[in-house]
Amino acid sequence: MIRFRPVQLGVGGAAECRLCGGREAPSRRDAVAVAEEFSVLADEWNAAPGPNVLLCGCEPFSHPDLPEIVGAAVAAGTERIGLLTDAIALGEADNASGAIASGVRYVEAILLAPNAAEHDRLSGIPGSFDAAVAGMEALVHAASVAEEKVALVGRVVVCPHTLKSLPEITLVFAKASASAVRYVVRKELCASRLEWVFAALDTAVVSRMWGWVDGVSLELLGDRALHAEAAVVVEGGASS
Amino acid sequence: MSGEGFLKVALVALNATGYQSLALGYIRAFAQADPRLQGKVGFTTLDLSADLDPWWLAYRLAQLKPEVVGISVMCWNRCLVCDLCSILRKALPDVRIVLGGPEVGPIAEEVLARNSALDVIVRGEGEETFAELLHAYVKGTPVWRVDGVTCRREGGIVSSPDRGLLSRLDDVPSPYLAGVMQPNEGTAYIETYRGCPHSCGYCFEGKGYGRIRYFSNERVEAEVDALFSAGVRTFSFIDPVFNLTRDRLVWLSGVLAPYVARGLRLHTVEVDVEHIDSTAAKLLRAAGVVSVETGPQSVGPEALRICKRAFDRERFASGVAALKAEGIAVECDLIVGLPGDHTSDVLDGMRFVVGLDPGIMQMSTLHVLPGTDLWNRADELGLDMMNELSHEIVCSQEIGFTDLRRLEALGSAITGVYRARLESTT
Ligand code: SF4
Repeated sequence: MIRFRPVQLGVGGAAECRLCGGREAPSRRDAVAVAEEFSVLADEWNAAPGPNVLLCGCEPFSHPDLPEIVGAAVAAGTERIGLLTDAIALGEADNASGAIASGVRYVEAILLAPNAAEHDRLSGIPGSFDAAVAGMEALVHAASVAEEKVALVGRVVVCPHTLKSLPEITLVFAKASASAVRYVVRKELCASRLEWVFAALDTAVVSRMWGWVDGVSLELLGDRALHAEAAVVVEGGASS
Repeated sequence: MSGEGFLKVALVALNATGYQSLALGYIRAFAQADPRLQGKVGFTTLDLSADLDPWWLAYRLAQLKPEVVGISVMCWNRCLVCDLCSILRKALPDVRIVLGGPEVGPIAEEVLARNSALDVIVRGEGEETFAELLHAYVKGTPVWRVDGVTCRREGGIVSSPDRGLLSRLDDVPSPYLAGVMQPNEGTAYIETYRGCPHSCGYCFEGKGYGRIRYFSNERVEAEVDALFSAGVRTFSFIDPVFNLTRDRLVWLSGVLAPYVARGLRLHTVEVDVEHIDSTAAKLLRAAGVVSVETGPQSVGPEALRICKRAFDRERFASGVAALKAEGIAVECDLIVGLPGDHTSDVLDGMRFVVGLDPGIMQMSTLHVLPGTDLWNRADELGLDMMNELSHEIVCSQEIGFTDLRRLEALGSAITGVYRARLESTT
């Protein structure tokens, strides 16, 4: 419902479990080129509210020029600056407060599993689950200290390895004070296995969060068709 | 009390955090000004927040040893008031418990029948009736003879005839000028009229107060001047429609402008946005208005018809644009679960409001308030409410329980993402 335009900072981010998604070798885009994209985008933006951008493609915090990039987005008049992140670096040093101070107001955080053992196995990064949870907590805390409104939304790519953990992953997001969870369902996932997605959507609602599904037809959603309604529409999708 | 002594009265309001009760201030100021009660009745006001514990409230009241406790009941505090009254009845067996307010007045007999702790309910506009009630207590005359009350009599429940509305609002003293209410953190409430020209099905204002009655211009001007001189720099106008007519807006703007130049600001006045053009927006700005609140509540044609609300997309959008052009923040409100609205209408409403980019958007689930048109037609319209205490709807004929909860979750997520933004510096 609220549109964001994806702006690629590079390639090689880790939105999917490593058993499914082939990882590209990480690379970063030139900050000047990204800044130019913000200006073009602001000029072209033709429907309120906005302009809004989601920085994605590679892990934003791995980009050495992230502060300058966010600064350029602010200077271009961007209203909502979002990060698609594995949330690990949010808990480090003053990254969370720094991001908010520089203008970030939307964070879409990725989880692959509801516990450290499974998440770390799927991400291939030891300690990544605990760090991600700490990162989300740091973000919420920093927003409260700064008295700024910052939206935290969870993101899970639904694959055979994350499927049965979806309700529990949803609860981890709820505990971290996320306001919604985006479930990105991989095309090859069989329609007969959507029960786990449905359970996750119901878990979201009873946890007072919105859950929405990318990649499943209204027909398949049946009486949960309302869950096709995205709180945040990333035009053309967002990869990380 | 038999009629000779001194009657101790405690007045209680339980507000949303940060708010005060102007209604309670009026009730007390009016009664205190009644010569028949002077020297015979003493008042204490507890103007508190609704997040307090009923046991603690009862404890505080018990310390005051009142003979009469008067409590203002609103939709947000009815459960708390119910608990408080049950405790009070046991803790202070002889106290007379009197309730008033839109939440109980229209269903007074039902409320008394349900709750044996209660003695009297004041129906409708409360100032005159409450003063008359106190007079009856002081004189020891029967309460049921007071117009506008519902009370117990000989084991039953009786309602006296309705009391007519006050013919001159100026007869109600300003609670601030009477010294019974203090501005809260530099903010004071101002009311310039009662009643509403509209009669939206979910709202009590138009129906409950009937015709529009005004405080005199002189009274409003004097109150504004006195409050500003006392250091108040923020006014909250509680008028149902601040831009009621163009003439009135011109007058109010003229009254307030000199104070605006010296720092006065008005927050969140209610406006009829479809009657705002660039001239009206400029008048609002000159009046010191920094934020307004408005509908559309729904954009669904059927819900609008049932609720007797007019809505014109273009006019609404152009009103919001005119306000934004003057730097006035607009809060657009939507009600989820209105009869006639399907999920697609609610989604359409969300999209419409998001697309206007008003500044603030607010969504709430329908509460069917006693005395409103929707309350009277709830069965016919298929509105299922939670219970007799909470009038939030569980489902409507058009939207089932689960989709209603989903819409609440979606609305809350969207408002969260919407408000998380950088303010434009351009
Ligand atoms: S909702 Fe507003 S316009 Fe409608 S009757 Fe109530 S006060 Fe009047």
